[in-house]
Amino acid sequence: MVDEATKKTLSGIPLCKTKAGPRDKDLWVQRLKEEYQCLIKYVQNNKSADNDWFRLESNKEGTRWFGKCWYVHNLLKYEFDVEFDIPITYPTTAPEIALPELDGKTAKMYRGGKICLTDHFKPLWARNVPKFGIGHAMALGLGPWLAVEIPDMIEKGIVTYKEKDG
Amino acid sequence: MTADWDEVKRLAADFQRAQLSSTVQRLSERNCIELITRLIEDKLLDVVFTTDGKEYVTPQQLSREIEDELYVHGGRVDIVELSKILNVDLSHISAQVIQIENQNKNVKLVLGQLLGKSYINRVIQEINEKLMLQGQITVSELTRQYDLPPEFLLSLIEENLGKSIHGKQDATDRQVFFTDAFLHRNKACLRGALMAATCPTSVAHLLSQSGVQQRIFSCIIDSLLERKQVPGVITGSQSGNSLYIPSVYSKAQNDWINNFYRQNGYLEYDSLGRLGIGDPTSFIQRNFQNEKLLLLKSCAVGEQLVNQVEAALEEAIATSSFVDVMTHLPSMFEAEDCTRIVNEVLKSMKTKNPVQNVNVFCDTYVVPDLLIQNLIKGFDPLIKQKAQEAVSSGAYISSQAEMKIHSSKMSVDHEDSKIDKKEERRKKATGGKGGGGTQGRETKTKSTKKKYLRGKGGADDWDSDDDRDSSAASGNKTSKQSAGKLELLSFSVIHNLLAGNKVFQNEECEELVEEIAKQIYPALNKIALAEAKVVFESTMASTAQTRRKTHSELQEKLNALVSNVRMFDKGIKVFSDNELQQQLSKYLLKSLCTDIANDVFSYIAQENMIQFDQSKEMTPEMRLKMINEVPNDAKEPLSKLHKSLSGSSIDNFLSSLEASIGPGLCDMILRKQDKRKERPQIYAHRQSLLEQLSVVQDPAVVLHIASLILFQTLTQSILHASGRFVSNILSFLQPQLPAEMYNSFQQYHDMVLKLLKTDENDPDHVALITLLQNGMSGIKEMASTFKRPSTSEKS
Repeated sequence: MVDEATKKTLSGIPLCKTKAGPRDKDLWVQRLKEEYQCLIKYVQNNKSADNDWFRLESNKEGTRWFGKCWYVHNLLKYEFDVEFDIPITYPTTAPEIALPELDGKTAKMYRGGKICLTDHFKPLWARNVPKFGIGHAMALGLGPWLAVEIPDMIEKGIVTYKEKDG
Repeated sequence: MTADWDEVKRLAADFQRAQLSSTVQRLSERNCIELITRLIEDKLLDVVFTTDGKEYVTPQQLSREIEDELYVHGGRVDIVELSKILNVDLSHISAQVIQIENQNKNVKLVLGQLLGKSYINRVIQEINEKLMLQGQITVSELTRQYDLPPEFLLSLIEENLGKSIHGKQDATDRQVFFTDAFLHRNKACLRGALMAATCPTSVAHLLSQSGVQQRIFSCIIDSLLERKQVPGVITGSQSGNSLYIPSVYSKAQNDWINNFYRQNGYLEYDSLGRLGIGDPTSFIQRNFQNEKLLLLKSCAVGEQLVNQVEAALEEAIATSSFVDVMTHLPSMFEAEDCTRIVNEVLKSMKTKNPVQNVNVFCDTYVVPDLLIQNLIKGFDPLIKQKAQEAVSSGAYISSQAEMKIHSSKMSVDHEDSKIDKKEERRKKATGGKGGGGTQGRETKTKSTKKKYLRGKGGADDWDSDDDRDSSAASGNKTSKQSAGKLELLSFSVIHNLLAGNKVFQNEECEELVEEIAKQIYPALNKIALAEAKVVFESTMASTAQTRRKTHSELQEKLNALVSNVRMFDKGIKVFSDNELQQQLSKYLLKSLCTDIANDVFSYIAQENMIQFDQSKEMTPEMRLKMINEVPNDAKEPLSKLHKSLSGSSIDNFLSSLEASIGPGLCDMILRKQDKRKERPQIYAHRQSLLEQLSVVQDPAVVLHIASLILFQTLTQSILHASGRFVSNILSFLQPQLPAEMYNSFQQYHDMVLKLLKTDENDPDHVALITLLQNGMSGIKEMASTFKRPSTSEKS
């Protein structure tokens, strides 16, 4: 279902406990706290494994998330903007992560740069409601997607390296 | 509530902080592996991977570990095993092991096995112990035990031989080692066994009995032979089938053979074989080099025996008798051997005295030529007799004819067969002549010679059924001889005569007699045929002279007879009565003409060599038979002639007669009727009739002849008629006879008739006879004196 490395990362991310969406006032706060804790742990794990690959921040309510993600290929770092909203029916529905820069550049993408997740992702998510959160979506959804699509696109010349100032 | 949101804010800040904190600078595992690989590639680091790739070992550590393992394993370890134990690739291990072996004198690498000094020492010690225990040891055995290559073990043993291994290496087999004690034990065993043997024994058997092994046998036996401790010899190759012959035995054997030869003068291979001599001939040649031995098929013969035979032969030749060599030889001699001896003896005799000629029969009988000549001479009278018989019975001639037919058949395929055929035809046509006959005989004798030559060449053929058949056929005098060969003396006759000869009387020599008979059979027959030829030629010569005479005589006779017939025919034609004419003609045909025809037939028969009984009168059946036998071209005229005899026409007869005696058959010519001769002939006839008349006393005959005379006187033609026709003649003559004369004739005639009718016992008979006797003179008188009235008177 999921490769060994992914499983290992998944096991390093703590699970959420509260089942609540943005509409559930108090419970959403509770859920948001758990989400943050998950993310913090995940990022810490990544950093300690020398495997840091994204930056994320949210609005005040925690319903919209945005940031950057990157992928290193042949010792070159390719960086993309990433953004997504928490759906109303969250956590039953998984968030739809989007890379607007790459909109229209690859077939594995919906309108607006939303990435096409693997066939495994959705049932996996469905089975793990409400335990999976944003951290899991990143690890299970965006991470593998990047690992597959970015080298392909670089090879095709769709994505080119551009020197970053920062 | 706000506290919660504060907490969320705090957490968000914590998250940002966590994200912004610098990542730990750490080499991941794959980076480490990459780095070390790089170092090894650049030869900056000398380490060895373990097989799972997770550990590195330095070569020094590896070699130390290997040595440790060697020690742990008791001085012997497999390097594959090492590779497993140390978890290091085999190639690194083997490379390391080679290095160790080079550096450390105490370690050896043998066939993938690492051996330490201690282990090798132990092995040597063990080998020595085993050798002491068993007395003998082979490298192959050790190889099996230690699972080490034989070369290594061998070198190991050879190195330590005399040092820590106490034994000897086998001289013939480097792989075998044994102790002195073992060698001595075996030697003693073998010596005992050799001593004990009294008859030839196979070495294998000896070894199995004494328990000595084959491979040390050679080693032992050499030393034993050297020291002369073996009472005998070893024959044959060294491989299994060699034989030990004790000298006791060979001495006994030689003694026996020598004694036998001294006593009997010969040696039989069979008996030598029974004594265990495999190759008798070479043995004899070897052991009796000084003697002049004749090597035969089944035995060898000394000079002594040969001399005996020679003496016997000489005696036989001198006395011209035969000798059975078999009786002078030991009973076990075979016929073949005997023949060889005889041949040898004859050869030597010939060189001494080349004149003698000797025949060998039945392999064993020696018969001098002289004896055979004598035997053949004994047949002379019989041959002469048989030759005479053959010629006189005609068997010779018929066989000649057969031969001719045979040769003509044979020559069909011949390239000039046409000519041959022509010649044959000519010969057949002229077969009646002497010249033709001679030619035929010549061809025949030639062929016979060939036949006999052939017969001599293949003496075996004489027994064949074919010849038997032909001899039987000639015995029966039928003309069935297959090849036209004439056998004058049959084989059995010769055989019986020989068996009766006093030379063969005393002994049982049936076979010899038969052989001799076979031998002389062709010769005798040849002689007989030559004899027959001589006889035949002499008879032919005599007949050829007479033949010409008879030919002309016959011609004369036939001419005379024919002219008589013609005249008689004329006389018959005087009668006007047709029926009477026919009857008279028939009578003429039956009497005179038949005689003529018979003469012709008998002549032709003689010419064509046809058998018939000359003493008897020829009957129509005989003539018919003859017609069937004569050559084809004579058949038709002869059968015509034969037919005309039973007809009633004289002319017919005459013409067919002319045809049948004409050229090609009898070569005779019938002369034309000569008018001038006619008259004297008639006169002669009359004279003969008158003569008869004066002589005869029988009244009937007198009347007959008288009437014939009267007829001739009156008609001037002669008549051939039987007594039956007397009355017809008289009635015919009546008008021209004086009345009283006719009456007296008529009267006499009646009286004769009456006499013939009356019984002899009748009283009238005597009276009639007297009456007739009385009248006879008158009748005679009248017949002889009656003159024909002149024509003028008559008219």
